[in-house]
This record gives sequence, C-alpha cells and structure tokens, in this order.
Amino acid sequence: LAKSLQRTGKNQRFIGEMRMTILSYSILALIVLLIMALGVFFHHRRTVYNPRRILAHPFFKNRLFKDKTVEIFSSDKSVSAYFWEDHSAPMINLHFSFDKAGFAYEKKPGVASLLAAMLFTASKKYNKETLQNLLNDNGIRCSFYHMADTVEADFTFVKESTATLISLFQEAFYHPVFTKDELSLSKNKLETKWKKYQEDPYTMIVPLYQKDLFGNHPYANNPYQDAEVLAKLTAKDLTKHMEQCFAKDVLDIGLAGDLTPMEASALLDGLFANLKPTSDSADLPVPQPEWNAPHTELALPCGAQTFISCVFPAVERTDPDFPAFRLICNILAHFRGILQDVLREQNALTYGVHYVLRFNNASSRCAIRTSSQHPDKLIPLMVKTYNDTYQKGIPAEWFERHKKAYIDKYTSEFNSLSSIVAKIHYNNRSHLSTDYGEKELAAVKALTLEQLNDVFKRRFPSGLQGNHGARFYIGTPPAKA
Amino acid sequence: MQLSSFTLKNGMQVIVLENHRVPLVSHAVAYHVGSFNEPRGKSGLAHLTEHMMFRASKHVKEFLSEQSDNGIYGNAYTSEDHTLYHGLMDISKLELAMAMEAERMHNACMNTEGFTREHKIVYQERKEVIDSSPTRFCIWERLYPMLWEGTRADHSIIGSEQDILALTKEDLRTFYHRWYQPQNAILLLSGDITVAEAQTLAEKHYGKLKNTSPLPVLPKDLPPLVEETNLVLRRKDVKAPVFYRCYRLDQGFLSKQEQLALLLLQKYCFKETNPFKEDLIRKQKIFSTLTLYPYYCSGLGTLEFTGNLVTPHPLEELVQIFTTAMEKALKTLTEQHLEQAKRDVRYTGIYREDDLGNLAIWVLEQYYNGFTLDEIQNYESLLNTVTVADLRAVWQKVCNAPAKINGLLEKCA
Repeated sequence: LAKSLQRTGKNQRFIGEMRMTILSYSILALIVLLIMALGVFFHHRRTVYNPRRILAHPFFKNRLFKDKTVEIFSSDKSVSAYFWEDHSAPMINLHFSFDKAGFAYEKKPGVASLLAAMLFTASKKYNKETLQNLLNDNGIRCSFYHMADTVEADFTFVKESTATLISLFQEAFYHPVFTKDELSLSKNKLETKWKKYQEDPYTMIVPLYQKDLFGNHPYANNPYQDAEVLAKLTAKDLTKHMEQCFAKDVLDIGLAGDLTPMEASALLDGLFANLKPTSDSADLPVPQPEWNAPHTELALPCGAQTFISCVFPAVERTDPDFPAFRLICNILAHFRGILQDVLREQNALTYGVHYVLRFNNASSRCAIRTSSQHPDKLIPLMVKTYNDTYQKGIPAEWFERHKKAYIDKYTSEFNSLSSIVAKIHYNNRSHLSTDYGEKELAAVKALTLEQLNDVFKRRFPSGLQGNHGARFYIGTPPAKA
Repeated sequence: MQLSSFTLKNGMQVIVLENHRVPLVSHAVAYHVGSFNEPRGKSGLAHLTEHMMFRASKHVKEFLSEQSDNGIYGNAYTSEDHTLYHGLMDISKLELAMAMEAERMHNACMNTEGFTREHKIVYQERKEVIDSSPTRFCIWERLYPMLWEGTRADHSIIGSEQDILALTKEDLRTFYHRWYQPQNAILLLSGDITVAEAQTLAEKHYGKLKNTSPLPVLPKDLPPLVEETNLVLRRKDVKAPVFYRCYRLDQGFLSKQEQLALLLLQKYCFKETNPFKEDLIRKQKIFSTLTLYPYYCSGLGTLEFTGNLVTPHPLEELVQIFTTAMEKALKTLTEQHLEQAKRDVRYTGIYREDDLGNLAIWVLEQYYNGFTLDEIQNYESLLNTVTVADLRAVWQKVCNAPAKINGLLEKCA
C-alpha cells in the first residue's frame, strides 16, 4: 500500500508536471500564432492597395507649385504679353494671335486660310529656299493657322537664335512676297485640307451645324474653301487682309521660356514695334441663333455611325459663374462624367462622350459630343439622363469627386512650355488677369453644392432635346461606302 | 537628357528621366506586348485587354475613376509591340499611381460584366475610328495586311470586326497572365524625381511582385509571298485621292546605323524645298502634299510614302514617277543637305525634352528598337557618324526590301 501510495504521488507529480509543460507549450504556440497573424496582418496592410494609407503619409513633401505668369511690355508700352520665365532648358515658346482677322472677318472667302498658309514662305530679301534654310539651320519652328476670329502663330526656338528670329521676322512678316507659283501650291494644299476635312465625320459635323445655327452670320462660313473659291484669291487680297487686320490693338501674346523679363521686352520690341497701332476690322454683329428648336438631322458626307452634337450657349470666361459652369460640364460630359458613365460604362452604347467649349467674340457655345451604332437607344437615354440630372440637381458624390479631381489636376496643365504658353496666351486673349488660373482654382475650392446647382439651373438648358434652350444635332452617315 | 536606369530583382526595368521644372511627373508602365503577340484569329486581343485593365481589380472598383478622382490624367495605348499605361500628375500623387499600377499588374479581374461592356465599346471604337475614315480603313485594313501576310504584323491593332466579336473572356485572361508580369514590364518616370527617390518607391511598390510564368517565345515570321503588289481601292466617301507606297522592312533587315540613316533621309525629303518635293509638287504638280515616314517596332518596320494627288494618274505611272524622283533626289544629296537634316533632328531632340510624357515614350520606342540606354543618351553622337554614302546605301537597301505594296485610293466613279 505504502509503495502504491508512493507511486500515486509520483504519478500525480508527473501529471502535474505534464500539465505545466502542456500549458507552457500551448502559451508558446499561441504567442507564435499571434506573432504570425500580426505578421500576415501587417504584410497585408503593406502590400494591398490602400490609397488612404499612402495619402496619409506622403512621400514627397514641400514641393509647392506657383503660377509665375507676369505681364510684360515693349519699351514704348504699346505691346504687352503674358510671360512665364523658365530657365530649365535653353528654349522659348511664343504664341500670338491677331483678333478680328479669322475666317469670320474675311472680305473675300478663304483669304484668312490662304494667308496663314503663305506667311513665312518668302520675303523681298529671301526666296523660299533661303528662308527655309535659315529657319531650319537656326532651329526656328513656326506655324500659322486661322480660326473663326483670329489668325494665330506658334514659334519655338532656342535662346541662341533669338537675334536671328528677330531679323527673319522683320523680313518675312513685314515684307512678305506671295509669288504666283507659291499661291498656286498653297491653294492646292488648302483644297486637299478641305477635302480631308470632309472625309472625317467628327470634324465635318461642326461646320454643318454652325450653318444651321448661324444662318447668314459669318460664323456660319466654312473654315476652308474649295478650289473654285480659292482660285479667285490674289496676292493683293492677302496683303490687303494683312494691312487691314494685323495691328497692335488686336494682338495678344503668350511667351514662355529661357528669357529674363528684360530680354522678353526686347523681343517684343524686335518683333512687333513696326505694327500699325489699330486694326481696321469692324466688330461682328451679335448672331441670334435659335436655341429653342426640336432636334435637327444633318446628312453627313461620310462616316460609319451616327455622330451627335448637342449645342447650347456657354458662360463667358470673364463671368463669375464660369468656374461652376466648367465644373458642371466636367461632371456631365467629361470622360469620367455622368453621361459617359451611363452611356459608355454602364450601357456600352458609345466609344465616348466629351464636351467642347468654343469662345468666339460674338458667341460662345458648349457642345456635348458623342457617336454611336445604336442612336435609337443612345439618344433617349442621353436625353433622359441629362433631364433627370437637371431636375434632381447634381448629386453630392459627383460634385465632390469632380471638385477634388479639378483641384488635383491643376498643376498638370503646366506640363510643358508649349502648354504653358497656350494657357497664358488664352488668358491674355480672354482679358483675364495673369493670376486667373489661381483665382479660378480658389473659386472652385470655395464652391458649395448649392451654388453649383444654382448655376446649373440658371445657366444650362432645362433639357437636351426639344424646346429647352439647346440644339440637338443628329449627323446621319451616308449609305455604306 | 538626364537618363538613368536600374532593374528590380523580379526583372522589371526602371528608366528615370529627371526634369525639375515643375513638381510634376509622368508615370508610365510599358508591357512588351502588343498586336504582334496575338494568336492567329484573335486580332484585337491586346487592345481589348488594355481596355479591360481600366475596369476592376481585386481591390479597385474601377481604375479610370480611381485615377481621375485622385487627379491623375490616366490613359493607355496599344501598339504593335507594346502596351503603355501612362499618367501625368502632381508629384504628390506619384506613390498612389505606382500602387494602383502594381495592383493592376497582378490583380486585374476579367469579370463577365466588364468584359461584355468593354467588348461592345471596342466595337464602337472600331466603327468610329477605322470604318468612318476611308484612308485609315484602306491603309490599315487592306494594304497593311497584304504587305505583311503570313507574319505577326498582318492585322490591325484594333482587330478585324469578325475577330473582335469572337474574342472571349478566357482569351483575355490567358493573355493577361501570360504577358502582364514584372519581367515583361518597364517603368518610366519622367519629371521632378531623383533616381534615389525612384528606386525607393519602385522597390516598395513593384519590387514585391512575382513573375507567374516564363515568357513565351514568338514564332519566326514567314517570308513575303509576293514581292510587289498593286491595289486600287475605290470608295464613295473619298474626297482627296491618295497614292501610297510602302516598303516592308523585316526584323533585322536594317541595322541601327541604317535606321538612323533612314531617319535622316526622311528629314531631307520632308523639307519643303528639297529636290524631291520641288519636282513632284512644284514642277510636275502631281501632288499637293507628300510625306515619307519610317516606322519601326521591335526592329521590324516600314517606310511609307503618302501623297495627296492634285490630278488623277494611273497607279503604275505614280510608282514610276515616285521612284524616279527619289533617285534624282538622292543624286543631288550633298554634305550640306545632310548637315541640315542632322541639325533638324538635334533641335527636335531639344524640343522633345519639353514634354515629360512624350520624352518618355520616345525613349521607350528607341529602346524597343534595339538602342541601348547609353546610345539613346548619346543619340546625337550616333547621328553624327552617318554619312551621305550611308543615306544612299540605305535607300538602295530599302529598294530591295523583301516586299512592297502600292495603293491608290480614289472615289467611285
């Protein structure tokens, strides 16, 4: 019995020891499991896409962007430009335009396009080959083009060619020569351009609806002309158009690049001092388009599907409602807008929806554009989506998303000197201040949903189709090509 | 150009182009896969896959919204040999863009709903972009496939109508898993970023991604079936008749030095006052505009000549007129002309650096064409070694290209 009791005591001790061991191992295993779980949790947090965590701990700090646009003047103050100083590369961009010189202001049809095609081809001192060689050898790239209101020019050059540019400009711009031979070649080119234009339904729908919208007003003119019209133009017509339209009071300039403000002013002197002070071009009458009309069908000369443009009056950039107007356009018809979401992402009825703002001297418009193989399904859905949004107002979620996107994307507009110069030229031409970009940004930041919907109600058509203040154009393609 | 490069452990290459003008950066990921990699009968697969990449992934509901809502200008394109996803953004958004792109590389979903919609959208895109344009339709859908018959280049990037409609979700899934891997990708960062910063972020977001399978090897292209083909195409919607001549330059047909010589030849011919244009536009008044355009992808390419006709001419006559004019232009080519062409390319290089995104794409294209990063950095020095004799020799070689096609696009009577 005593032996047995001794054994039992031993067993009990043994059992107790075993229990302790199991307990310790269990705790250890639990700790290991906990560590592993924590490891997996933190690894998951590190590796899984988590925008909030990334934005909460920004990698890049203190790299603030500041708009550097200033206004500079020629020495006699008769010419001014919006200027952006940048010395990161030895290059300069210049963009200028003459207002009231475009195709809507032509005395003879086609003269603005022909002039733009022929500027900088030859001068009294330099024939075409010499002039082209001088431009090429000095890296001076230039192009002229015309719009409804303006004749515009783009110049890109390296700093070391500035003096050469001034001397060539003095020759080619102020003493151009339009030979018969060159006239004939440029007319051929323009004729081809107009034909190519007519092969593209996307571009061609614009002059078609502008004809319907503006009737006899010059904004209804075609941007290019055919051979018959061009044949009537002479060198004298070009000179006359230049003399009439190219003047300091209608000149708007954007300049950016490797120049100090003093060098930039000297460049203005060198290029534009010889211009006459005032233009002879008269203002256009204000057109009176009929905005209340049912939908209009247009027969396209080309295309394999239906092209749609819904046009309505735009708010001017100088108007205090403009920042809200643009934001609403983004919300409605940007590539991440409501219409795109419904028509493309949800119903796959189109390749895309977008909007274009056209600001002309006497009329500004917004066009929402799309195309489809299924117009019978797309059009009612497009109209319904817009009308519903107009009735109920922009939803808060869409407002917040697009407001944030607008603010976040602001810096991206300053990607290159050419985009900077285009932007500041446009601000200058629109009579906006040098700091307009930042002002518009501040206005968007301060916008509330109520203010936005108020602008939506007051400044947008109450419906897309029918008599609601917008014109709905349906461009139908021809029978199979 | 401040160009640097390094490779992550998983094989993903990183190219950094520093430019500190504004606090912006262009972020792009290029996959070495395009329409060349599509199996027979599956044209449009690479492009449709690119579209699907903007739909959902495991942790992102929709990429386009995710990018747009965060101030990233995101877009993508598919070419013959690569697919590029790019975005321009404020530097503060870069890390987010990298995290998003890494998510897209290894977690994209090919769900049925997204596929059905994107399938229809691509079909609409084809109708809008290709079928609505007589020139694009005739060149990409008729002339190109004939020139490249029997090769990986025998179809358009967007794909034929028939093939697009037959693509399945499974096709896309297989294609994605096969080609969307770090070892088949290049990250391009251009803008306000240093190499050290790029390295830290690239390793953090892309370094952890694993390769899923070895990359497939493409089959060898078949030699051309016909040496020279003439094709007259007529459509009702043609307004401006076009003459088109294209030389097929098979893989490895031109060396790097010859590619540069061809680029300089193009610059020489493009100039308004060179003998070639003088003859065809001013004296003979056959064309109103002319372009000569060399195009390569992964060392395989074409030399395209396009001329808009002023007056109608038979195709055979146009071929003769074009070749005679080119020969004449080559005879009158001088050292001075070549120097002018070199200067032109040099200035183009300076101006190209102005745009963060364009510069990155140009670097990528040269890289895929076989130029090393050192050569790209010293592009100007390489150009300087090209001589007048090189230009003449490369033209002779192009004239003996394995195949040529001549096309005339005109209005139906």
